Amino acid sequence: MHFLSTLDRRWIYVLIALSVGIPMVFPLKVPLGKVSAPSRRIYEFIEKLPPDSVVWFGFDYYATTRAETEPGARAVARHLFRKGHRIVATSFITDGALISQTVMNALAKEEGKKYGVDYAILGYKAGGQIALKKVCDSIPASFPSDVNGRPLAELPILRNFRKGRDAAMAFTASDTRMFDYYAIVAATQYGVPVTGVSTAVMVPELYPYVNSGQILGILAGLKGSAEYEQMTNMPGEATRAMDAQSVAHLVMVTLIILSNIVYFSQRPRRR
Amino acid sequence: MEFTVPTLIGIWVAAFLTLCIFSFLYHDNPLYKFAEHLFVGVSAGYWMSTYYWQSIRRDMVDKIAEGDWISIVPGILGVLLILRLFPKIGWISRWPLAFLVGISAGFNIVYTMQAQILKQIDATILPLWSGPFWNGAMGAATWSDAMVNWIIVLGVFCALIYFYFSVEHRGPFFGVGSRIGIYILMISFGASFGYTVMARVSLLIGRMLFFKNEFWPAVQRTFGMG
Repeated sequence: MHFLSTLDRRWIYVLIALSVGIPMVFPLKVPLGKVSAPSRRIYEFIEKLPPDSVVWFGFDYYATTRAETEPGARAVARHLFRKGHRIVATSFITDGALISQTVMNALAKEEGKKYGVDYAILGYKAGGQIALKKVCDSIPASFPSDVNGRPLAELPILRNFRKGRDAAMAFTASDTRMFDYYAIVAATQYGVPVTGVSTAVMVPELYPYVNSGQILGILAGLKGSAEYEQMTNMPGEATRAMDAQSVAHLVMVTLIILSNIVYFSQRPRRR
Repeated sequence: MEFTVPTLIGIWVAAFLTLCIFSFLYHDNPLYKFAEHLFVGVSAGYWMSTYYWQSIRRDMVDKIAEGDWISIVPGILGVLLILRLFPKIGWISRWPLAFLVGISAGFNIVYTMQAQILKQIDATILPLWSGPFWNGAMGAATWSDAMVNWIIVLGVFCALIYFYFSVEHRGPFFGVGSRIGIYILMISFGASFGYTVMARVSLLIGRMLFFKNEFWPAVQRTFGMG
């Protein structure tokens, strides 16, 4: 086993690539296991929302993490549309202005929803948490027009929805500190039920907010998104990716164990 | 998937650039450098355009055109900030910077206290016992809930002891407490590492799915296969 200590790391890259690629060609259908409580809470909350609720939907992720955050955002938005709720999309991240249009317009086309009535896209707002507070206080003051420059008065969905704090729920798909800001400002100060999907890297930092109730529920990366797809019986990208994720994790765990064995077997013994 | 000519070109370019970036795993090379520089350039261009149309135009230019002259103030502060580039009058940029620092500090002090200190302390004051004697808010719903609460309370307490540096970490209270605190921190680092692995693998899966679901059908369409 000593060859492992001098193994070229590029062989490990090949191994990881194969462990991700092969299950995509030959699906193993690895069971997902029990749905985690933070994912389930989002589903149950949406199921209990009064009909025709307006949900504030934040596209707060960069294009680089689309693979991780977008399946969850799609799954929740689709669930909301199918339950007859309406969506107002905003973004506090530059990339989100474009991403929100791509995702929402495609989804609305699939679900037969009409722009301005069932959903609206307001685009990007600079200013991070201060901008978020302003949206809570007044949407027209924060977004004078929608993403394409159309005045808000022309959008029926926004006639009675003037403040972010009046949203039945806020959902953010985030790979930045914006998720914290939703918890800190929208949830703690204004009492808006905050939910979202985040990259897995961020999840340990967000769990204290889940524990304190400031975040109602959270989809932890691709795994959380797959759980949501399972609950809504709408298998999508995340579900298809879980085989590859499971095999890659197995390979990683095996490599960690092997490298520890090699390390301890080569360590000079104490006398 | 509907393949128009622009879509096909886009998919081919995306696949080429993905491979350029992956080529760095073998070693540094001009293709990787090309993709890296292109990414930086395109990002800068996209950000500039978005900032202009979604922020400067919508929040300042249009509002001024409507007669809302107060909207010019952020614009002036922004221009003052850029004066840093001119050494002789660069000192003026400290004014808008002071404004930014003041606003951020004032905003964060209030919210940090409220959301990250008081709420978090509140979340660690938990019922530690269960059973018929401990009813209502005093007791946990089940013994397993009570056990979880013990872990949270002791975990927070021991982690705080570890970060208390005014007393030497020795003896049954500070010594043992800080030792447990280290273990608690190690467990949290382990969880973070696990989640980081999951995140990175997810990104790789995203690219692989792109090759399988978009690029391969685009190849078939381009060469008239299937």
